[in-house]
Amino acid sequence: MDKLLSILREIRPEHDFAASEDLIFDGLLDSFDIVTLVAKMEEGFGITIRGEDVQYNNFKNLKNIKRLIKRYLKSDEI
Amino acid sequence: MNFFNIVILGVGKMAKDCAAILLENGMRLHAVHETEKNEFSPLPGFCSRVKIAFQQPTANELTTYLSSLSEPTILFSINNNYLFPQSIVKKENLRIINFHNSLLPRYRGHGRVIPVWVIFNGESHHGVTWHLVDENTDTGNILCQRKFKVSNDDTALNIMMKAIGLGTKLFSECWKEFINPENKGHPQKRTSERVYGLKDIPNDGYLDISWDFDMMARFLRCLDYEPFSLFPLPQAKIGGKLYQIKKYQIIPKRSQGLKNKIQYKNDLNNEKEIDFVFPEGIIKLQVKERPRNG
Repeated sequence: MDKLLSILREIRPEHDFAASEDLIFDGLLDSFDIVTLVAKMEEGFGITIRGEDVQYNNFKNLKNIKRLIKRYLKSDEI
Repeated sequence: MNFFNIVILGVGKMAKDCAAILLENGMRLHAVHETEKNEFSPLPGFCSRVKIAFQQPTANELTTYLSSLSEPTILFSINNNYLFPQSIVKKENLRIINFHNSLLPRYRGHGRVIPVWVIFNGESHHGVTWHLVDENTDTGNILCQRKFKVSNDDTALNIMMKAIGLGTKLFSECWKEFINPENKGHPQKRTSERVYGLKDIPNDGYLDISWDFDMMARFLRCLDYEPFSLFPLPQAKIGGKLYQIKKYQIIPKRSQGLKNKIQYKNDLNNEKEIDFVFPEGIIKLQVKERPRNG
C-alpha cells in the first residue's frame, strides 16, 4: 500500500488520498492523472493494465486501486 | 459580476478547468451541462464543491433548455459533442463559443477522431481554435488559434492532451476577448476539406502489411489512446488469418543491414508475437487471432 500511496503522492503531492472515498468526484484525480497513474502502476508493479480495466470503479479510491493491482499480481504484496 | 449569464456545455477536465478560470476571475457561472458520459470527468464533483447548477441532459432536453433562455447568455462549448440546431444558433441573445482541437478550417469534425487523422496523415504541426458557432460544423468566425509541434512518437492520446493543455492556456489568456460581444472574430477560409466523423477510422481500422515502416508506425500510433479504450483495437490480416493487435512496439533502426521480413514467435493460445523488420527499424505486434466471422 505504501508503494501505491507514494506513486499517488508523486503525481499529486498536495492531496490526502487516504481520506477520500471517491478520488474522481473529490477532484484528487482527473483523466490526465489517470494516464500518469496507470503508467506508473505498470512500471512500479511490473504489470500491464488492460484498457477495459481503466474504468471509474477500479480507480474510485485506494481500496479499489489496491484490489485492481492485486488482481494483476495475484498476490497481497503491494 | 457579469451582466449576462455564462453556461458551459461540455465534458471532462478541460470544461472543468475553464470553469475554474472563470470563477477565479470573479465571473459567475449560471450552469454547467455535461453533454457526454465520461466516467473520469471531474465536472460533477467540481460543480458540487463550488455550488454551480449541474445537469447531464439528453440532446433533446438541452435543446429545450437552450430554447427557453431569454436573457443574454454566453455559451462555452468545450469538448462538447452536442450539435447546436439552427434555431439555437440563430437566437440573438446567445453568443456561442466553441473549442475545437484543430487549426480550423483544417480537420473539422468530431474532436476524438481528429488526433487519429493528424497522426495518420503525418502532420508535423497541429493546433487548436476557439471560434464562434454558426449554422455549420466548425465553420464559425475564428477568435483565437495556436499551433503546436507533432512529434514522430506522439500517439492520439498525446495529441489530445497537448490540445487540451494548449486550449486551456489560450482560454486563460483570452477569455475576456471571447465574452466581448464586439469581438466578431475573423471568417475562416472556405475549403472543401472533409468533416471527420467518429466512425471515420484510417483504413477501416486494418493495418496493411504491405505498408512501409513509417506508415505502419503512424497507423499504430494514431489509434492509440492507451490507457483508455476509445476506439476498437486495430486489426490485421496476416497469412490469411485475422488478428486483433493487442500491443505494439516501434523500434527505430539501431544497426545497419536490416532487410524486410516477417518473423513469427510464441504461438500460444491463439496469441502471437509478430515482428515486421524494415531497413528503418522493427515493429513488434502482440496479436490475438480472431475467427473470420468474429
